[in-house]
Amino acid sequence: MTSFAPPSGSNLIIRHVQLQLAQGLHIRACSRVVALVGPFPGRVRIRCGDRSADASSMFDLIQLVAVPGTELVLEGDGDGVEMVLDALEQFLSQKTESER
Amino acid sequence: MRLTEFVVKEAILPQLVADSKSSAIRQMVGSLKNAGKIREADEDAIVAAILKREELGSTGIGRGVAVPHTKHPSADSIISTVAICHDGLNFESLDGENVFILFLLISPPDRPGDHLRGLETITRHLKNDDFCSFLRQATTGQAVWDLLQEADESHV
Repeated sequence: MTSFAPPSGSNLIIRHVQLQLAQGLHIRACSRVVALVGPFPGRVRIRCGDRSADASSMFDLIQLVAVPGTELVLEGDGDGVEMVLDALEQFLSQKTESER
Repeated sequence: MRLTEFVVKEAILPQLVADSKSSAIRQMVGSLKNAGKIREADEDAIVAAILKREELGSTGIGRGVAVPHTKHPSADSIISTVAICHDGLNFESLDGENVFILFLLISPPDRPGDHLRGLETITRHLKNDDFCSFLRQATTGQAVWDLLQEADESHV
């Protein structure tokens, strides 16, 4: 897993994480992602291959079809984005389904 | 993946009347049994598994849509049925709104990718406002089936 800010002067933070959840990014996992991102006033997107999702949208996240082992790219900006990405990274990296 | 690949036409419930999440799920599983897609011996276990899954968090995903589901060893491939609840149903959805369109999904236990692709297919079409609107107005199984076919052909 890596974390870096792009050199363009943007505040966009990008991280790479391998999805470990045993059932992939299924509905319950998506709802947990939405819950983690929900209170955050900034913007978070998750990329999976050539697909990209607004991390606050259940419908978007389900359409990533992210199976276990998939490399995900987390992108976010806004005040406190590091904390949100930390939480997402921790959640998506766990193998057991303790989402709630 | 196409909706008409895994939705069982004979099990569609175009005018579901249910006063609870449990009742809706029982009727939908019963419809799959009546259509010959699941065995009577498995019916109660499948209903129980779907209800248990709902206890972990509602599958009411917003936009008036719910996708109750489970994985079950009797399923060789994904099967699904659709129900339209014209009066709306409290499904404890994430957005707090009633549900009008239900896709119930049963998947084989060992193929999470197929399950996710089934969910992706359903939600991809349900993001379309026209598709949702027309589904909510459908009152016959054939009308629902025609809409699924049109969605598969991207005509909606």
